[in-house]
Amino acid sequence: MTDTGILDKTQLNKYRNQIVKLISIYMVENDISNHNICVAWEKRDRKELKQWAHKMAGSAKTIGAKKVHDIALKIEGEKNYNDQELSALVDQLNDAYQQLKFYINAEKHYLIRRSA
Amino acid sequence: MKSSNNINILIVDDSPVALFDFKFKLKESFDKDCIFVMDNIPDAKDVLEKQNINVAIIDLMMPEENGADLISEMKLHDRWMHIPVIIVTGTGSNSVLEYGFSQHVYAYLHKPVDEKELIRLIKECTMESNQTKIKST
Repeated sequence: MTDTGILDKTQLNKYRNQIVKLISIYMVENDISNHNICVAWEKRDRKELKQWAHKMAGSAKTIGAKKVHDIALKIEGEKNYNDQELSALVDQLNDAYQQLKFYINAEKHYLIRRSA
Repeated sequence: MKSSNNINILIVDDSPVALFDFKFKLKESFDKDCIFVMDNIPDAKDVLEKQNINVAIIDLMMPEENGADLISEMKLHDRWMHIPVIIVTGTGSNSVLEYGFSQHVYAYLHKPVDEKELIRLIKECTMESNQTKIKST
């Protein structure tokens, strides 16, 4: 139903569609960034690791993914972590990202159902 | 309401999420056909070459490419040197600020960019740029 006489749902659905699209774009981009972070860390390439963490922090901030943003920011930051600490942060970031994906996927499917 | 005079806006960011965010925030105020979003430097240069760009919004740090190189190139190019540049950054470090001052960029914005601030800056810097052009002719 698009118009109940009280609310024209097509207007709200436009925003829902935008959010669904944003979530999809976010996941495609960050699956790649998350993968590249793991690869960079396997190679112990700290420069590359920081660059991908920077990218991941930026997009996480855009969608309000606080936990992913905070961990990515730590990896990207100036502090010189030792291998053990950095390894733990990479694991934490991966866990936080998988958790986030679960949430935003659920949000996406909820919005799709609502706009149907 | 969309601005009456078309402002050509170039946005360069390698993050599809950031580009989506920019387009979403600008589409109510500017003509979507005048918003050029590019995820890499060569395509951005192509747009600068072919379009009459009024303002460039550039992400400074990209994993595979460097927005700073593009800005430096713009500042040395006859046709591009007067285009106001707004840099976008995910960090607020002093090195970013210092870089911005050294390249005479118009302003810098933090991600995620504030919609009102973004629109205000675009209108303000294009207006100033037009006035400078009128004075110099």
